[in-house]
Amino acid sequence: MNKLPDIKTSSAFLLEILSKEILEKRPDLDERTDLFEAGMDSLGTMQLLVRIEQRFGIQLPAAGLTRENASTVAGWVSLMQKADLPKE
Amino acid sequence: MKVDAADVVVIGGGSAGIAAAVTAARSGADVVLVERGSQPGGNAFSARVHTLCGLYLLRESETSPLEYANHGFPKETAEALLKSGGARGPVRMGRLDVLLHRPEAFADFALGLIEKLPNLRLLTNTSLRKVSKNPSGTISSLQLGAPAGELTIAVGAVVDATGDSGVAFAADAATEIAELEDLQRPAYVLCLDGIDPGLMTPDGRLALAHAISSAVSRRQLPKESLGTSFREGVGAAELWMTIDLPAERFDPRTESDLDSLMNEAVHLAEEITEFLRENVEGFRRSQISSRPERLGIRESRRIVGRQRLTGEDVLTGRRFSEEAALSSWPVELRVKAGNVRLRFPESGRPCGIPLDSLRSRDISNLLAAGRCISTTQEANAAIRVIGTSLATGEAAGREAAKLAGHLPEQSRKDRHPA
Repeated sequence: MNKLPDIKTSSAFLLEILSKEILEKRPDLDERTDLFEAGMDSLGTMQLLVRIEQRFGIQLPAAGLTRENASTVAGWVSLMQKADLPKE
Repeated sequence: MKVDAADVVVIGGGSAGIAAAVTAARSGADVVLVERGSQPGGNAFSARVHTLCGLYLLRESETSPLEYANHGFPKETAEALLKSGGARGPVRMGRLDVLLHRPEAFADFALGLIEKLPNLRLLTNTSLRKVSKNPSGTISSLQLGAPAGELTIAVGAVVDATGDSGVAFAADAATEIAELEDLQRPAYVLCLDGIDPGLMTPDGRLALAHAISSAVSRRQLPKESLGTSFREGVGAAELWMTIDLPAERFDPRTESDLDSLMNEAVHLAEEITEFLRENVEGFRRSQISSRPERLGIRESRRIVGRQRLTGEDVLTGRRFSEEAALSSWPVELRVKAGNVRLRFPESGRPCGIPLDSLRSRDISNLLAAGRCISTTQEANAAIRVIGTSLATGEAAGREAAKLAGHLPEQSRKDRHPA
């Protein structure tokens, strides 16, 4: 059965993808870093949405994806808690 | 065959070439600017790159004062565009300040400057055929293919603003290029008009990103659509789309590669805009209002200069004794799909671009300007932007005029103080 990933797993996954694949590697990237200041844009956002879906099989709700939520890993984690589980 | 002469010939009518030609002409040189297309403007016009990057120094925060990185031609361009309503901003994008402009306004600005200078001739639809050299190894003349036939121009100095070191290569001067699979990706840029202003907010652009990525996972759009980024434009109901193209086996020096990638890009852009019109509220009445004639090439062949600027120079804010310009843009390597890596200098300070990185190592009267100056790939990812290209173009134009025997205003005053 599918279930939502827990907070710790989500956070670790996002930090890894962001620092390895999307943004420039930086040791100080944490849950509170402003991602848009770090270079995140709509292209990086799409990439992250796709990677989340590939890894956990979940789709984030469109309505929750705001500048405020999307600007930190903590915000993305909270969005992931509200994600739609895939239909089986 | 027609034979002609000029003090300075600038090959390539993009932002660097325009800056070089105008500056050399203002220094008193007799100048010819050669453009292969029907109009000058390069990436800033023909590729519709609507963001002028690298114009300003990095700021600690949004409230810190805004300062131009280079005060000459780049500032003149920005202020003229702002004054005519052809630009807006700068707007803050992350830690960066970017001036938004209308590509058509940029082209008009360039043409306006060129028309004002009787000693600057613009040759459009003209391309370089052959370079001839003196026994000493300097360039003596250029053979051009123009609509009216072949034309040979004897020259004092040459500025290579071709973007791919076309002059240096034809003159057998050393050039270099990264492995094709490592080149930064080219982009296709277009503008949509008639968009609901509600989508023109940061949240609106995120909603678009969400719509596209969902469509890709439902296989309604090809995965190449994930290379799209959305930005605002000068007008309130405009939305600009930049599609970073997948181009693993693409050679920017090859006409057939450029054509086939352009075709793919046109189809991809149509698929994406069609999808948005059908599926996203606020897009139904949108229309493509501006589309490019060329791909936006980020990286191609570079000259080997007397000095090669490196990524470390950029990141440490290195300065040089003889500088052409300052570079304030971060290292923005857009190589792999979906990565937006920006590397900022640790100090936040700009680095100098040494004049020796504009000077060909092998040919003393050949200068490069714009993205084909001598750099490593990393440094290229910083200096390639339009704001910086305007500055290296200006420096190359000044230097070329000097080589051809025309001293700039300032040095004349220095030598003959009132």
